[in-house]
Amino acid sequence: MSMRVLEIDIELVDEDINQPRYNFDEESISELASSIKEIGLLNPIKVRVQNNGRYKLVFGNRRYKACKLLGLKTIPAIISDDQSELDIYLEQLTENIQRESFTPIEEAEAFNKLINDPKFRISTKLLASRLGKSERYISQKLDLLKFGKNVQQMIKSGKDIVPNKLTEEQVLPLKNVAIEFRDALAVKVAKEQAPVKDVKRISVLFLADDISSETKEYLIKKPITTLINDWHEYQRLKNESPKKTELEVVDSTISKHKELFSDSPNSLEYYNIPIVKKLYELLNNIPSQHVISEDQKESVSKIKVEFKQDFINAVDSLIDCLLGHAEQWKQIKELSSSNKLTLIKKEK
Amino acid sequence: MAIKWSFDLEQKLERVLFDLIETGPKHLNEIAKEIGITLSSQGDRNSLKYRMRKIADRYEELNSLGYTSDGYIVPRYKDEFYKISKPLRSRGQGLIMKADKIDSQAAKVGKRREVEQMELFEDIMDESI
Repeated sequence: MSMRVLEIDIELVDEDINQPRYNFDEESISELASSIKEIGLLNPIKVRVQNNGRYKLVFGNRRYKACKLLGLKTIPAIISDDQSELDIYLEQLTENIQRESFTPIEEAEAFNKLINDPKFRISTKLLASRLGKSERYISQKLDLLKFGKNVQQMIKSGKDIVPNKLTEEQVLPLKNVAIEFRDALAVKVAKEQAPVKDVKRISVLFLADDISSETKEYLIKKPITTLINDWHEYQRLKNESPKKTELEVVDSTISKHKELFSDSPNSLEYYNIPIVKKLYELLNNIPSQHVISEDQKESVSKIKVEFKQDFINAVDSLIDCLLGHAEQWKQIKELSSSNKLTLIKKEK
Repeated sequence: MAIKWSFDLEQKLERVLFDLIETGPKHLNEIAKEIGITLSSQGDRNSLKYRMRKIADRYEELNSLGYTSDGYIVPRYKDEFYKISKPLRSRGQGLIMKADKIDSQAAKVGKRREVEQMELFEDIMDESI
């Protein structure tokens, strides 16, 4: 790509009406004009040569307008030989995208043009890579075009909330609200300078499936502060309504240990074997062994003579019971260990 | 079956109550019909009244919502306000009168118990002698 800087006749320069930026502040142009008058034009504009011998502006629109305002006959310009419409448009976009005065809607419209205009038709991915932005950034900007023209005019760059203007953060939570409420809600947000957090809450009401459109029509007439109270009420009632509980029949004897074996495909079958059931039933009911403390041991002396025999009998029955269990489970253990695995030869 | 209150239903009720300013008095059944519910038990009626009171407390415009023989109204004119306040006041006075009556009965019981206690004291004194 070659570049030449020439002093060209200002009358030979045509503005590019299709360029991404179209909002020009008259006041800032006259400020720029007085600055040029004082110190001259520091940066040349960029133009490309047209077939009719005239020049078309690539960028430097404000500088061009300011020089015209000053009545200058010539203007320093970089002559671009680039003829690709896409490259020129992208160059214009890149030049403007970083500027604060370039509105989010201008940006969104430029993206939309690049993606949907038959002249360009580039993918979001390619656009993202050419501009060095994420695809999410581009899709967020395109979402701004979902709003009506009157709302679009309210959208400004920056994060400061000012009356009758909307920041991108304020307006984006409303993008999926039904079309009949979207713009009206955005205008209300702008008018009442609702913070982003509140807008997100209000959007919940208008996106909810369990609120009829008849009610939404009623809600839209309310001021933001009342809508916030309604959001609290909505959340409260939502939490109050009983949740559907799904009951599952489980065998309580095996449920404690089931999770340990849940990966095994045949675990349920295993736990349904009667002896296994019995085993876990006992394990669940018998407390794990606790050491009898010295105090507890000493408290034996407090048992009066007339109750001593009863106490000895109760201890005997506990020992018998435990020994009985121990005896039986020893037999079961022997039985289960005798079931050894044997290798058998499989005939083909 | 009890009324299942949802945000949507509450908002419908709120709108009906605000509309009362324009439409004039409405009975509980009419209000219920308008919001699409049927009042099949006293519990339902109480539930609707409770929600109405809660909504009325939330908005200054509805604070004076009240019942007259013609139904529930949100008063606008002086006589309408009096129509609501009069029965409330007489009910309050009735309650005060009843409370006074109970107090006077309590006073009688107090005296009787004092006499009983004195008699008991005298009996003990006699025994000890």
